[in-house]
Amino acid sequence: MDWVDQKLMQKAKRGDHSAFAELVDKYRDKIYAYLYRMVGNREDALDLAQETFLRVFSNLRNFQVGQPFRPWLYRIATNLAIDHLRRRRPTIALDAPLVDGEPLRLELVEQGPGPAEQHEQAELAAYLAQKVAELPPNYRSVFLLRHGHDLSYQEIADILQVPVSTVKTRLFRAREALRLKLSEERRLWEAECQ
Amino acid sequence: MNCHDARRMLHQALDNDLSLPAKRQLESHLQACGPCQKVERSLGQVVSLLEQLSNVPAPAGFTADLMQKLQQQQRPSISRFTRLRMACAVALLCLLIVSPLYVWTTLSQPQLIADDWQVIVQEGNRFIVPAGEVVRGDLVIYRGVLEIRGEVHGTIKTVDATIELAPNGRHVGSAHSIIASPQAKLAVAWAELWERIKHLLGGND
Ligand SMILES: [Zn+2]
Repeated sequence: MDWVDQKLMQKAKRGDHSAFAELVDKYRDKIYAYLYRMVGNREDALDLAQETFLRVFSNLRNFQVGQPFRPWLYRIATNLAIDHLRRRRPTIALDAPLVDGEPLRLELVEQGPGPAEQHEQAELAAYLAQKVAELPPNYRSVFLLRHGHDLSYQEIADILQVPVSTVKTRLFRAREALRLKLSEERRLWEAECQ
Repeated sequence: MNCHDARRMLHQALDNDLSLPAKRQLESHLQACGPCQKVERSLGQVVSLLEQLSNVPAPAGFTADLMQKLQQQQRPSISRFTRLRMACAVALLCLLIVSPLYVWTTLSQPQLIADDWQVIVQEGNRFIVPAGEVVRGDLVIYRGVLEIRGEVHGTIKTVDATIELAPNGRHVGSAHSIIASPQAKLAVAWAELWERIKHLLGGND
């Protein structure tokens, strides 16, 4: 539990705008980055990040002091991102039971990162970013929350309202799919091992 | 342990979801297995690259824009609230002014309250129960005259009023005359107001 967050939320609930601004300053980069990786473009990410904090503000009354703030914040952001993606195009749910060795099929995206971005970032990171964008949204969010934003299994399960076992399954499959993509060029090891 | 098990355990290790003995088993497998070492390395790479990807600073002015939006959003919600309060205040004021006025005008006219009021005909300050009609239930009459040409079955209360029984008229029940104290007048006026309201609200009595 982050006591600084708790103190700031308590003040914000009492109507202290500067305390609220402090919270925004603390989390804006993380939330923006998360939404950017979720929706794949900067304008939408900016709109959604602003909307996330507006919702935090209008829901201050419903926040109970002592309740962890970070999962609450990410839950609002995740719901907004998933709604946004649902409106943009239908998603494919891939919650079928895990079959060993069967790789996760990736969704096709119309737009990957442009060539300009590939130059400004490390080639590999850009490649991975594109592959992350191709994951189905419910896998993408689990994966990003766990590795980009350091939330626990339980917190992710609470955020997405799914059982912990589902979080583990999605995480395993997403990581495995990305690892395979990343090592595709270096030849798949499975051929030799087993 | 085979490579499949090792691969699963590599994932579990990343999430600190592996017991200490299992970790040792995994490590000894990794030392002996080149391909699994490669998997470990590439998984580690995926994770560290992802951490890198999750550092995208928000555009400049993010917080300032947001706080401005918040202030714009707050204003209409406050004014909506005050508008509602003002509407309530106006309604209350109307009620306070209109109801005594109503009571006062009611007091200056003859009034009749009856369960069977549809049957009764008013002519000036006379309330007439027509010949051949039967009025059942209680009657209250304030000022004026109640002329019974037909029949009344029930109690009649008169306040500053008189009863005229026509030759063929009949009254079954008791009659009470009430002294027109200010309180009684007020009570009649309020009862009348209440009847009107009930009627307005669509009471089917
Ligand atoms: Zn192996």
